[in-house]
Amino acid sequence: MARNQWLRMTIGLSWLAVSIGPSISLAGEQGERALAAVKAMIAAGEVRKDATIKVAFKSGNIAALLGPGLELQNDWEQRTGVMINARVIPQQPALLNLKANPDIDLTVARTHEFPDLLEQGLVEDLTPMAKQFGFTIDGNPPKGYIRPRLQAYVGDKLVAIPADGDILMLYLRLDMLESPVEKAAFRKIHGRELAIPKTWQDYEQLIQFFHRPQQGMYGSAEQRERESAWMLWMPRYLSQGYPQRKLFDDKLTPLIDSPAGIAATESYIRTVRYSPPDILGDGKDYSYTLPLFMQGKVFATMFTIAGAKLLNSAASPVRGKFTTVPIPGTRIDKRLVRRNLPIYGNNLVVSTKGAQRKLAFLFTMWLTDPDTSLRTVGVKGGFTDPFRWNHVNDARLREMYTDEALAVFAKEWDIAVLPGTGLPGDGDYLDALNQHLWLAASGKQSAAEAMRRTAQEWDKITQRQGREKLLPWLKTFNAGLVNSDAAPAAAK
Amino acid sequence: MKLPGRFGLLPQLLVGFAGAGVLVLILLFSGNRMLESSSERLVDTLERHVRPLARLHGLQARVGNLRNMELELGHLDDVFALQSHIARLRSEISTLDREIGAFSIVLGKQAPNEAQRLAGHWREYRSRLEAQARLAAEMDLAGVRGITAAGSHISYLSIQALLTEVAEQTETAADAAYQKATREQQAQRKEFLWLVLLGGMVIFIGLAYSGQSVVRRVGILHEHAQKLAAGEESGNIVIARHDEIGDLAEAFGTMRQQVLTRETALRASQVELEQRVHERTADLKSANRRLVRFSQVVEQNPVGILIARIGGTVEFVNPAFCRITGRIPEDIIEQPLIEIMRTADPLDADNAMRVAISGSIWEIEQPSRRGDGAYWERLRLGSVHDEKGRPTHLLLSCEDITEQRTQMEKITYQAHYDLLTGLPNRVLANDRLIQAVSRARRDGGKAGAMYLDLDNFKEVNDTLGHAVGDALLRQVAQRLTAAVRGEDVVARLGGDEFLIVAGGLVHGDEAAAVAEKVIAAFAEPFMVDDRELTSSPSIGIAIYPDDGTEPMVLLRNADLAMYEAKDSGRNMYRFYNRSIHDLSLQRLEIGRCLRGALERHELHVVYHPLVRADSGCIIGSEALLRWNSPELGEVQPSTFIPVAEQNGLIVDLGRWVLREACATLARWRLQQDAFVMAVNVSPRQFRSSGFVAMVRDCLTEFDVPPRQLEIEITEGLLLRNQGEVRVILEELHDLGVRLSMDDFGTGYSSLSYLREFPFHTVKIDRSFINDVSEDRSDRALVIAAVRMAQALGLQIIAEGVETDEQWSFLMAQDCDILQGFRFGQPVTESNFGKTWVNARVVRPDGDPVARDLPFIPV
Repeated sequence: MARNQWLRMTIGLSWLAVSIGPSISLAGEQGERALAAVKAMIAAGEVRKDATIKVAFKSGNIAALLGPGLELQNDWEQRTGVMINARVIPQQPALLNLKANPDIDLTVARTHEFPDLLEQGLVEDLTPMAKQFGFTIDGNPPKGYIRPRLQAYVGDKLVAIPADGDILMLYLRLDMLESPVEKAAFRKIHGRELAIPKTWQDYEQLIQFFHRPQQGMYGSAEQRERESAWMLWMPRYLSQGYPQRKLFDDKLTPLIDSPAGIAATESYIRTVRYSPPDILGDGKDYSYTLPLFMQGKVFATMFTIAGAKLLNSAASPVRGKFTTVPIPGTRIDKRLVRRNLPIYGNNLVVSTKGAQRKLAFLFTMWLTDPDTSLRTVGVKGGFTDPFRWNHVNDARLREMYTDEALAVFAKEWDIAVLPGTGLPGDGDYLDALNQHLWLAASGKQSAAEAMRRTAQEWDKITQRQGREKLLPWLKTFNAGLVNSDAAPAAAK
Repeated sequence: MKLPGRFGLLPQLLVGFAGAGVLVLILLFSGNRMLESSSERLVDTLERHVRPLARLHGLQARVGNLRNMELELGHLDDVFALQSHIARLRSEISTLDREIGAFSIVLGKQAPNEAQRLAGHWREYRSRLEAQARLAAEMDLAGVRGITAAGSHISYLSIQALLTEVAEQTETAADAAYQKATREQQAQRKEFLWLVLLGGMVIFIGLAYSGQSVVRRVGILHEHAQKLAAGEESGNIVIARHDEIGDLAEAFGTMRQQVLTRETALRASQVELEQRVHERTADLKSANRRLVRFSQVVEQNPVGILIARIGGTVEFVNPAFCRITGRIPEDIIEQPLIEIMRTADPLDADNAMRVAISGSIWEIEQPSRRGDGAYWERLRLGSVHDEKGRPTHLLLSCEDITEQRTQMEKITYQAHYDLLTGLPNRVLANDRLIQAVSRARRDGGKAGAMYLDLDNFKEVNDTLGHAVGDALLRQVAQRLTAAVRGEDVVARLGGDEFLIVAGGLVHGDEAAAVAEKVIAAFAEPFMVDDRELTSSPSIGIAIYPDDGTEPMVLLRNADLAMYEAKDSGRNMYRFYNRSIHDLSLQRLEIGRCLRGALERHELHVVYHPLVRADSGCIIGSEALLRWNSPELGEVQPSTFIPVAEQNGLIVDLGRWVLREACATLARWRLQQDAFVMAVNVSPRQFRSSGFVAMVRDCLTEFDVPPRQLEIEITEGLLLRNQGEVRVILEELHDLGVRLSMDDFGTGYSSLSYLREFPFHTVKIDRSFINDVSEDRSDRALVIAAVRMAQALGLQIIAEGVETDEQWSFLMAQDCDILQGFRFGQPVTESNFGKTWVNARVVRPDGDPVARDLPFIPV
């Protein structure tokens, strides 16, 4: 063994001994099978013992996925002899990163990006590998992946291994909600009790009530910057119909310029007036909104469950003062329709051009093993969120996220649907939507105009992509709107 | 011999090398001392100056790194990267705190003021950093940036400036120390070079003196040796004898004297030797002539001959050997005989050589290969002896016996295999069966003999010719071979009979599995000359030891079981059991008794009335054969007819019945002019040569109108060889005889038969009539049959009518004729003539049809 390998191993062992101590454990059954498969491949001469898997993660992902001090990387390397070469790639779509780094084996991609990646042949269809090595990506409790059909599949093709469950949650200031003074004032103005909002209308009323800029308190800090506009517009739009409002009809004609689309857009832009003044600025994403909530400057914010992890940290000024609740919905014919979706979802994808695709796949199976993955989700301050059912019940994670947040999180998956458009060209569709939502939020377009123009641009994108080519994709996407992962409610 | 004052070469060399060695050691010791001294000076310089300097630079770098982390912290664009960054920042602060503390202690010994200043600056900077980490944990990055901008850079720059100042001082001191160490090192190097030069000169002088002494004395010896070689007188050698070179000169002188003496003796011996060579040459010439003669014999011999040394290496081969083995001499000569013999087992060749050397002849016939293919060779190995009887060489002869072997194998193959199918023949099959039985006996297992006969092969052969029949047999053989297990043997016993020997069975059921596979293999039609042929097997199975312990008994019992399979409907298999055996014996007994039964008048004909359904009038009868054997008693037709059918007696019996029936008909016509007589004809009789002529003769002889004779045949007759059957039926039809299909409904009940063949009557089988009152499906079938017959213009006879209810039903369906026990048992000719001819039966509804016919109260 080369001297630097000894050195790495020694450092790795020392680090593990010091930082992990007794908490280190063998991987679970899935992880052990992945390790055994790697050893078998090495023994059969299929791969060299000193083979290297090239992984590329965005800034901040390295620690979240490979553990603080790269403890998981070291663990993997010691147990298999296969090295991990991790590099940092820019915060940009996976499509661009995969094209710019053709030699990598493994990277992360957001759920809505799958169609583009698959259609352009950039990510491996993992179905044959899963079959070859005998792995099942199931959603069965108590340890299965949460809603794998939402996070890992395009139709029947397994294209990613879930590694992060990014469902939307609503964070509210509990201390303000429970204040007798506020309750009385609210009852006086609105004639009803101050309560957790059920509908988007309730929610707007609530943030309007708590919007007091002269006191340095804003009603809401939902992300309204250009790049991620679709994420917080979609729940509003999808809940405009039952079981959900669709983006296209069966012939790919956009439906977003309908009254439902305009209503969703109006709901989306109405929060701007109750937000901090810079909310529309470029780059004002969660790194802008979450600190405001943590510092007690806003009443409400909306983000994934990772928000709970940060807000509940020891240094957080709002620890114990906030509540995590389901996102609101729309009342249609006395039925409350709520729809949620995995907005980010850092899922592991294997590049088709990678030299060690099988090893990369086995690494993902080890990394997302029920026991191993507790170590990624449990990284303090990291973005990796629960993505297996056993995470929801883990005592350490419950302490980290709060019982309440994990309970809401588990329940919200029942109403989750596929994110994005499900079509090749998804990036273009969402860019167009983002741009017009931002213009509408900035007051430069009306909601109706924004939707009309977006629909026109969507039509052009559809023409460019080829309508006939897209129709099967749309069919697959629509078929996926049915919850085929349904897990027993008891498990959640 | 040692002389006083002698000083040999070895001591001289030892003294020389020892002196040089001591000198070199002195030089090395001096050099080592200098190196050590230099190294110590450098270490001292490093310790006192360079290491603190490196440590200072390290500290500066770490402080710089910390500053970078501080600056990055305030500008992180992702809140999820904060925690890990804060953790790293705190870790770095902690590490640097320890390092600066340790460095301050060292620095304090040399520069206490600077050490105190450094600690102060660090405390200030550390507190600012901790405040930044705290704010970052609260995600207050603006606050972090505020501290960075407000004051932390002053603390940072103070630390860096102080560290730089200390570093510069240390660097100046280090530079001076280095200069001093360099000067001392150069002085020491100069001393060492002088010492090396002096030592080198001493060693050179010593080596030059010793070399010159040795070279001079060796030169004298060289001069005397050259003269001795040239035969010149050189005189005595004068060299002082104080060392080994002197000893060498004395020994050289002694040797010179001995050489001169021996040279004289050699010249005398040479003369004698030349005489002997002359004589020997003459002997050799004579021997050589003999060798040439023998050589020609060997060269031209058609038998391959090879001569090898006793050790086994080949010395000679003749052309015939090369021709037979297909090798060239260069590949054989000097090669080991064992390899040339190419025996399957190298030990055989080894043994052959031992046998040959012992004086015997070793022989083998073996297959071998050469360039143009495989061949058989016969090898004989013997030995050649010298005049004392000792073996000197090995002699191998080689003959090509391929043609003999081929003939022999052909004869053997023909004796054991069927030339048409390539399968084992009866002889080999018996042998395999014996082997299978022996193995089963030895292992306590089972073995199966499966006798297989094709169901319709004769028809194929008769109608399509032997060439098609042979092609079919070849395909059958292929399918059988493919269907059975690997260890089973398929043999053709002759004709269309095959035998499958299934050895190594644990249960008899395994043979059933083989039989089922064989039957399944016949499901697909055979293609012969673009003609689709169907064939099916009947298989009889006998299992050792259950059905016999001797192979011949097994074969016989399998044959019996095969017949049972044929009788049971063909295209099936049957296991032999005791009842088959008993039945076989019974058949034999029946067959034996049946021969001559006609002559002994044991057979007679009875008649069963045929009644019009609508009127109850008797319109005719069916003639039925009965046998009353003195030995066996009353034998049922169902028992003896199949035996007669099998052994061919049916032809004679059928002819007799037809004649009896026609004779009777002729008599009854006198009472009832239109009386009809129905006669059953068996398939074998039907197809027997001259059947139609016999019918014609019979009609003529008894003067019976053909339309009053009804020939009854069964559906089964139509299944095979339809062309031949059609011809006979049409001839009978042309004759005017009525044709009836008997037992309709029990076989294929094919409408196409009724339409394609010239039938007049259909007889619905009794089994449908029996249940017509209770069974709705039977009722439906009867109705359908009647309608169908009516549509085709055929007459319907219902057999087995036993009740008035059945009669009423059939009458309601417009059935034409009835037959059954409702009207009585079959009776003899005299009884029938008295009772039934020209008679009438009252209908169930009591319809009194006023006819002048006798009334029968049944």
